[in-house]
Order: sequence, then C-alpha cells, then structure tokens
Amino acid sequence: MTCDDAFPLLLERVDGEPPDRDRARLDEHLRVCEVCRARLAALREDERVLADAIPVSPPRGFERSLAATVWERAQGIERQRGLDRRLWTLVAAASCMAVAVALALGFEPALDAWKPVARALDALPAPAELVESLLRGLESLPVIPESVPMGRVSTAWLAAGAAAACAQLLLARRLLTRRGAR
Amino acid sequence: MTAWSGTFSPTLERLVGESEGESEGESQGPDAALVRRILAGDAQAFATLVARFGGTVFSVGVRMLGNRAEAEDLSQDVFLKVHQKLRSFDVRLPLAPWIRRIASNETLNRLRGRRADRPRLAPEDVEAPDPGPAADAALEAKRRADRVACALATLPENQRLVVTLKYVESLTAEEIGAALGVPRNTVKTWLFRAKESLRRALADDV
Repeated sequence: MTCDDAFPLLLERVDGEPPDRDRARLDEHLRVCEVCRARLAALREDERVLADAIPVSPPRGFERSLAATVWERAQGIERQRGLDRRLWTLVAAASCMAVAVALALGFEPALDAWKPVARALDALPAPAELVESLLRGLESLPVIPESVPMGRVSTAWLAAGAAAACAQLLLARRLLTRRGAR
Repeated sequence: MTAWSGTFSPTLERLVGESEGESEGESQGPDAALVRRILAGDAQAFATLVARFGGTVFSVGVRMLGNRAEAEDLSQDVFLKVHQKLRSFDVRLPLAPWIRRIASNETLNRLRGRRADRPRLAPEDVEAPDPGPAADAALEAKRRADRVACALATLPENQRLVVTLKYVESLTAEEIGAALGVPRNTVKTWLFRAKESLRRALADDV
C-alpha cells in the first residue's frame, strides 16, 4: 500500500466510518510509514479541535423558555383555527338554511313568493325568446311542456334536502374539529 | 437510511385512535409514547422533546446563521413546525432524524431568504466550550473556537451544514445524508472539502 492509497482510508478511520476497509493493510502500512502515522495524528488532532470548537452552548434555561414560548404560540394557533372552523361552520349552516327557506317559500304554490320574480323575468322578452327559439331548433326533442310543473316539487323534499346538506356539513366540521383537538 | 423511504406510514391520526390501551407493539418507535403525550396536550412532554433537541437546533442555527439571536428565532420556528407536523409523524421511526430534517430545511430556507448577505459572525457570538480549570487553556480554546467559526462562515452552505451536523451531533455521513436528503457519498465529498478548507484556515492562522 502506498501513502496515496492510505490517505482516504486514514480519513475514513478518523471519521469513524464503518466499515474500516482494508484495516489490516492500513495497519501494516502505518506500522512501517512514519509519514502516514504523523498524518493520522494530525488528522485526529484537527478532528478534536473541530469537535470542541463547533458545538455552541445555548444560554442557561434556553430549552425551558423555548418550550414554553413555542407551546404558547402553538396553542394560540390551535385556538385561532378552532374559532375559524366554528365561524365557517356557522356561515355554511346559515347559508344552507337561507337556501332551504328560499326554496321552500318559492316552491310553495300557496305562497307564490316567486311570482313577482317570474313576472319580472317575463317582462324581459329577449332571453325568453332566445331560449324558445333554441328549443324549437332542437327537432330531436320530444314535445316541450308549456310550463315546467315546478309547483309539484314538494316543499318538504326541498327542505329535507337542504337540511340534510346542512347536517352533513355540520357533522364533517365537528369531526374535523375533534381530530384537530385530539 | 431507510427512515425517509416513501413507505406507507402509520401516522398518529390512525394510531392514537386504534392503540388506546394497547401495549407498546413492535411497530411503535422509541418515541411513540412521547409523541402521543404531546398530541394529547401534555406541555411537559413537549418540554422533554425540546430539552432533547433544543440545544442541537440552536447550535446548528448559530453556526449556520452566524448569530445567536437569529438562532433563537430559528429554534422557535423549527419547534413550532415540529409541533404542527407531529400528527403526520411516522411513529415507527425515531424522532431525531425527522427533527434534524425539519431543522436543516428551515435553516436553508432562512439562508436562501437572505442570500445577498454573508453570514454575520461576530466574535461575541462564538461561545467556547466549558473552559475548565486552566485560564490559559480556556483562552486558547476560545481563540480556537473563534478561528473555526470564522473559517466555517466562509464555507458554502452545504459544506457548512454537513460539517456542523457532524460535529454538533457526531453524526455519520449516512445520518447526515438522511437529514438532508442527499446520498452518503455526496455528504462524504462535502465533508472532505469542508474539512480541507477548515484545516487550511486553521493552519494559516497558527
């Protein structure tokens, strides 16, 4: 083994890198080569200097105050997230309820709550005519009913659908909140 | 290291629910109990975690960023991230490599954020190891630490990080590679170059 061959092995030995390849050959070389022995000693000394000099001691009580500060910040973030979740749940629930009420009132024939809207739309001829001409153009379509029987859509069904959506949303939010708190 | 291989990981979201009252199975890593306590809201468990890794993160921060105040900020950010990501931690694995990886990424992100500046390493930022009984030896140790710190500050980021991880935590090239997500041989090359530069700098100063 030459000194050039030995050098990378010396580095590995100093680094304590397993496996120490060619251990026997390196030991044999070191036994006869003073230059490599001196090199190994110098490398070990450098290693010791770096190992002493590079680590930095934190200030006294650093870890304790760090843990307290980070824990406080983390709890604050968690609280804020909880509030956000609750707020969004409320907004979503309120929106679902509003839609459900509007649909229920609008499709209830007795109340005719959407009549003014329908009348206003009727007063605008252009879109209605456009739709009519488009529909007439589709010859493949079967007979188009004169009026869509929206009144038959049960108010109860609509309200139930909206309420189910609402409940689903609330349940999902509650599950998320529980998992977040765990 | 296989710690970062992309295998299916039993995250705590599953395990917390499933293993209540279950004995510590062989699939549970050495830190699973600590992690579970933190997730259950145990501040003392979190303090234990910070006590184990806080000094290392701070040390790496000082050496990489060049000043203690920024290293303290970095430590806060690292442990906040650890707290927030703990739910997705694979409990079969030890915590150390995972935290090391978060710390390394945070450090490099900070350095990228101030790419234009060189690390600012004031001599007072460098703290010598415990001086021991002999004042001369303490002074010499302090001077040597200053020299090393200044030489360290001139290294490229990747070399500085590997050499810091090696000497702060006595890690092998394999473990450093796992922390940085680079192959072992790349780490060895960076380490070799870094140590050559440090040796040269130390030899020039003597």
